[in-house]
Amino acid sequence: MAGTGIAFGSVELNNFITVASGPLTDAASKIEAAEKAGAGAASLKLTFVDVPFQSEMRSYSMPGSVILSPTNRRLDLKKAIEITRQIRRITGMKLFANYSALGSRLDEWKLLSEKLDEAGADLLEPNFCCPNLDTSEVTSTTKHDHGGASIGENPEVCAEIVRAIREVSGLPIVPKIITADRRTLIEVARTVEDCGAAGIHVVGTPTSGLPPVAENGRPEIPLLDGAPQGSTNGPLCKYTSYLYAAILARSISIPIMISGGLESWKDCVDVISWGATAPSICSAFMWYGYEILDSINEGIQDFMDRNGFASIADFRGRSLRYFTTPDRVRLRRGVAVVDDEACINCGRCLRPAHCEAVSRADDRVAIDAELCIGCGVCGSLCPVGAISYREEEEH
Amino acid sequence: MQSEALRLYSEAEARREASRCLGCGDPTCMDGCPAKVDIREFIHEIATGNLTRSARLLMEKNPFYWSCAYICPVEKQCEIKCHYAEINYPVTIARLQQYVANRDWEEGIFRPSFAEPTGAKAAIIGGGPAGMTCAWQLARRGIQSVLYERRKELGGMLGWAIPGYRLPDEIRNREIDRLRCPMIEVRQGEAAPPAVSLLERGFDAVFVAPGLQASARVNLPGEEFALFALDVMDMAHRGILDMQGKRVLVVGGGSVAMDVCGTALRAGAEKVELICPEAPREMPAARRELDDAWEKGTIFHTRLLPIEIVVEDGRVEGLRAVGIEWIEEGRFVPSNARVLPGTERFLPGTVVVEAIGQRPGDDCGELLTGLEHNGGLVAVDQETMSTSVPGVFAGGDVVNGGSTVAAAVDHGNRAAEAIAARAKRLAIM
Repeated sequence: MAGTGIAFGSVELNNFITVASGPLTDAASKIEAAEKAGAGAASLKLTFVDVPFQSEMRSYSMPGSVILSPTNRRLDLKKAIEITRQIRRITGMKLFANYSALGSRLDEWKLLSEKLDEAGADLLEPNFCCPNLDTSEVTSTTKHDHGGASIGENPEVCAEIVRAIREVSGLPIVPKIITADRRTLIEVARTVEDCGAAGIHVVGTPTSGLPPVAENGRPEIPLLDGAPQGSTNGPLCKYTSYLYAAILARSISIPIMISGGLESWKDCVDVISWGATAPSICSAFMWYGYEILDSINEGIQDFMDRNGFASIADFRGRSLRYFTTPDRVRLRRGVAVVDDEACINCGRCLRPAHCEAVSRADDRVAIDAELCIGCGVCGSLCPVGAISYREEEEH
Repeated sequence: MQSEALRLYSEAEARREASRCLGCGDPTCMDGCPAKVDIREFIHEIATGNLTRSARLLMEKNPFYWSCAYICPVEKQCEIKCHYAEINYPVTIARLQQYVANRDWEEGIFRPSFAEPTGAKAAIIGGGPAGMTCAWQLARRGIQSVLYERRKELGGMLGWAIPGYRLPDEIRNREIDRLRCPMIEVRQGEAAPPAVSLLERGFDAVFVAPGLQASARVNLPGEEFALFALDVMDMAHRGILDMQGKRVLVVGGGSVAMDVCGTALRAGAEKVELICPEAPREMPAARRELDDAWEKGTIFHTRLLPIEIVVEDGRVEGLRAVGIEWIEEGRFVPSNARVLPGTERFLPGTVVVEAIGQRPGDDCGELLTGLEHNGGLVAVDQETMSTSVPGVFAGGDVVNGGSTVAAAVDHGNRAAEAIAARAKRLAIM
């Protein structure tokens, strides 16, 4: 049977799934549960020297779609040290320290790194992405005055912090970053790689607006008044995670951890195929518990056995050869065809407004090959899978 | 009587169920709806959370949509035509309709708009689903009406002939009451003058929908000792039906026969047996109605034709019946039955109820004076519901011989449209 352990740089993980820093990792008992369920590692909840502001989770949650959270739980250093020590006593699971400070407070970055290293962390995950708030007002002169996501958008600040951490700890450093801008993503990733980071953790979760109640305009979040925006988690951002994995895999050589909307074995296969080393999961465990870890593990094992992969590394990045620019995409000519036997005649495929090819003739669906543009929409609408796409020979 | 309908959907359930709707390009469910409700769209609006439009789409096509959600034989109509039925099971259209109706009732989501009075005036005979629909649809178009209802209550068969366990009384009452409006003058307890004469009294149009008020008869020896379905349902509605310890024999295979069985059992009957010449699959009743009667304990005797009600000393002793087969396939009428020799049997019972359908009431002849009709069933143009006399329209059971509420609603809609068009023509002239 294929093995589902991985090496993330110098850190060996028994299982390729890590539990991302979040509400799942703010207590030793919860982290212990993650280990029992078979997770490879857990990243401790975001730690500050002193918790800066409101520190409880509030969220708009649509299971299977999205969790928007404007605020989240934070740990202070004392608590984080306590949990880390506890974990070291009760489990052997790999633990990442996740912590942050303002860009200008290198002393705090050092303190946090040193203390959490001492307490027994296996890897340092300086957090350049939380809180994930609006960074549009950050300028080149004020870039050191901010924390959270603004750090991850400033390569120089990232570099200063990584260098400072290296002065006090020999643990592998894996900065966790987020950015809405791909060029910055590449620049930051290359910078921290050059500064000696052991890996990078990129988050495919953008900041989003919140859905207000139609009647009063107030964002619809239990136990919270008027939130400005929220960090977006859950499958809604899965495809951004795929894109970031591919961009980074093409740009740097250090291992890549990815989080953002992954919740099944297939999502993990996808993101690894695009070049990720280790998928990290949070929201799916928050909705469905650690039971889904069995599903993910068995699913990926089955996939690997089926395809003859001995390890996760065997299929990492195999989709990257398709990662090209739209102008280089090779279009194949073809049309949609209907399987009359399978068609239940619901006419769903007649509805797309952009399509002039599908019509009904003699009480059957007919697709005019001359008018079909091969867009792929009708097939996705068919409830019984009766529409397929047939490639045409090039003339 | 306690309603036995399934509980209402919660909002989350309704949205989830509405999301199952495929949104077919060819919404065949609508072909199955006699009232032509835009089913696809009303369901889509549940999923999007726009219940105002959902309720409007339902109400504008079927002012009795709340009751219909409980009593329509949907498994023969919209739901059987649902394309999802071919994948697993149909979208539960009726329950979604109940959900919208209940939300609308509780929150007053949809407020119908009424046009300014045009000055046109119509007379409507019969306050059942056809008549009330017509009156309400005319009111929306700014046409006043005078509605004659012979009984003390509105609603027609819907008001009293459908058992309370199928349709909760408060729902039928609310639904009937909300159709009242200043544009409709209701004359209750008043017999209407002949339809044609109303034209001469200044009405621009007349809509005749008196329903079928009398029970059809099998014409069996001993029939003077039988009860009839409408009497049983009327007594049940008034709370005076007592079937304690009775052994009831019900003759008939349609929806009303099933209602009689269910009603008798719930009124304490010791035993209820149903006798009809059709086999279960040939009966006009919907599957669900059949199943309900059967589950509650009705014993079915099918392909059996009653020939005599046995009476001794003025007391019903039972029913004599013979086994039959159909001479010609697919025509389920007694004249097409061949009696099988040696199959005669006696079914003991203390009450015989005939439930084979309705016929026009005795006063109908006078009402329909001057109109072309066939044994009391008025001949109409199916599009406009207009009769042989210009300006007189007809609909409901008196046209189709007894059908669903939704079919009567459809007649009311069509007649209202035709009457409005006529009023416009008259105004120009």
